[in-house]
Amino acid sequence: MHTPLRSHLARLALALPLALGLAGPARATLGEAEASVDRDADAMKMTSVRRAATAAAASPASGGSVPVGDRVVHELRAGLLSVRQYAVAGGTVFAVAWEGPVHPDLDTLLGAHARAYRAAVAGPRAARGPRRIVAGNLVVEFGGHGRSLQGRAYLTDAVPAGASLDDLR
Amino acid sequence: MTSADPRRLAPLLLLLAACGSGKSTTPDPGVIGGDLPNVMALSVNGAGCSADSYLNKPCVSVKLCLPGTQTCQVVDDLLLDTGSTGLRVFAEVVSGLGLPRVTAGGQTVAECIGYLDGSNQWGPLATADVVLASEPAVTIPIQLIDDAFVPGRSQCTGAEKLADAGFNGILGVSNWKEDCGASCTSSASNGMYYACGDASCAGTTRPLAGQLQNPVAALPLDNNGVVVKLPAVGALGSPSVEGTLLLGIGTRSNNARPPAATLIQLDSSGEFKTAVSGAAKRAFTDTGSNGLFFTPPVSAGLTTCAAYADWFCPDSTLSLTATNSAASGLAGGSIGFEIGSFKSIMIDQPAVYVSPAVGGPLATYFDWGLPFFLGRDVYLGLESSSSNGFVAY
Repeated sequence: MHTPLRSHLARLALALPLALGLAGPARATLGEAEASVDRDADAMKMTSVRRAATAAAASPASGGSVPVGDRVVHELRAGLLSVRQYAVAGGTVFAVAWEGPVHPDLDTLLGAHARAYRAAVAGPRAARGPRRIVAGNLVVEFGGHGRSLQGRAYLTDAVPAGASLDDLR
Repeated sequence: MTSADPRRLAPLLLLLAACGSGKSTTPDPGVIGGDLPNVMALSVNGAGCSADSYLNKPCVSVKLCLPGTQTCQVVDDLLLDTGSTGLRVFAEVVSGLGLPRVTAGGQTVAECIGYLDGSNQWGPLATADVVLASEPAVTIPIQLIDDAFVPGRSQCTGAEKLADAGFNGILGVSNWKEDCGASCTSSASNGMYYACGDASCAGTTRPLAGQLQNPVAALPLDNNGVVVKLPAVGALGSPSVEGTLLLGIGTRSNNARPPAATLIQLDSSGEFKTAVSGAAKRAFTDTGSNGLFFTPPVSAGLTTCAAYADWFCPDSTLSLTATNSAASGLAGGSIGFEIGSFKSIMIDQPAVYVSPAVGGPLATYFDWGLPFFLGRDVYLGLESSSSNGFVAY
């Protein structure tokens, strides 16, 4: 059960102490205003390292590019975990994607949708493998392997027309 | 998977009763040495596994002892996982052993480990003498999985409980020697290791030797990898199969890697490349994944089951071909596999718990799960000073 962790990510040690999975008050995120990304960063003790509005600007490290100019991708990092939040400029966050040795605090990232997610995954597991959890308009996907986990969540009714799900990584 | 048949849900009480703690002397049920000390029994839904827990779950048994003593317990129903690193056992399963917890600076060291299915496990590290097959005991840190450890903590929320897991623990024998590696030695914000007091935890660095160790790498002789040997199973499946896990590669008369075997070197992420159609994607082998997860060619017309979104349900079994190669580009050759209907194989056949022909959609990787290992001897080489390890078959 297995990351594209690269040593250059490892070297991005942050001055802020990390508390991945920090609970705290419900902060914004998926389905909320773009400005909520900053509150997420605060809640998850992550540092915003990138805010790109074009594919060219977003292309380095991990491929989280934005194909259309009116959308933005925010990248947050804490230690080895990177979280990208996709928003319509000045609009709402319609997808989040992550990559690292652990999964991020989904209660924070999913915001108001966390309860539906927790309900959908509650109970004994029937199998082990990459998962795709659908709860109403919310889709949460997990994958990866040791040292290198990946995942994303998006709102099917909030993804802008013309956006490719393949680009939401 | 969330909507799977209730019969797949493990009756954990049964397995708990079967593995109560206590002092143990030889013979150790479930730990079969044979003529050579490096032969470990491996089963899918058979000997040493909790009955009918879930599809394609390979399990092994390991003896744990209080360090330096003969106070031991054989723990069965451990998931054999070539995709993770280290031995992790639910704390309540081995509570009778009283294994000493690992401390640093007066605080208990704990870990949060995540898996590809979105689950997390949490709990303190403890030191144990670990006996694989009939090998000499190795004294290493293991994890006691315990979601209730430091209940007021803010990290690793929603961690897995024994009643939900489907196994007693995980034996992780990946290509890595430690579960985190160099990155956790320098950054306290690694997200995996924590130093805990009574009420809270904070991220901490961990030296390599203090991280969860691949137990195979700690062996005195058979320490360079493992061989997974499981028999072939027809596409319609089987209730169970028995096989072996050989410790070491080329270290004994029973574990030589055939010269003709396909050999693929892993990259710095422990991965290689697989192409089914079009561009090659990142790929890995993983006994802990219970299907073949990938993006099929559009022409195959593979769609997911109406009631099981994680699995494919074609009208008839499809034969597909993939091409593996090292990340460096060195070709590894083609490999055939089949995908049948998860519903027809697993749901409509209540006795079946092993199948080579089940799979589901995965966009970013090709995950060669347990079906890849059926009917194929797979050699998994550990990292060394000069390589990231390899897969050969």
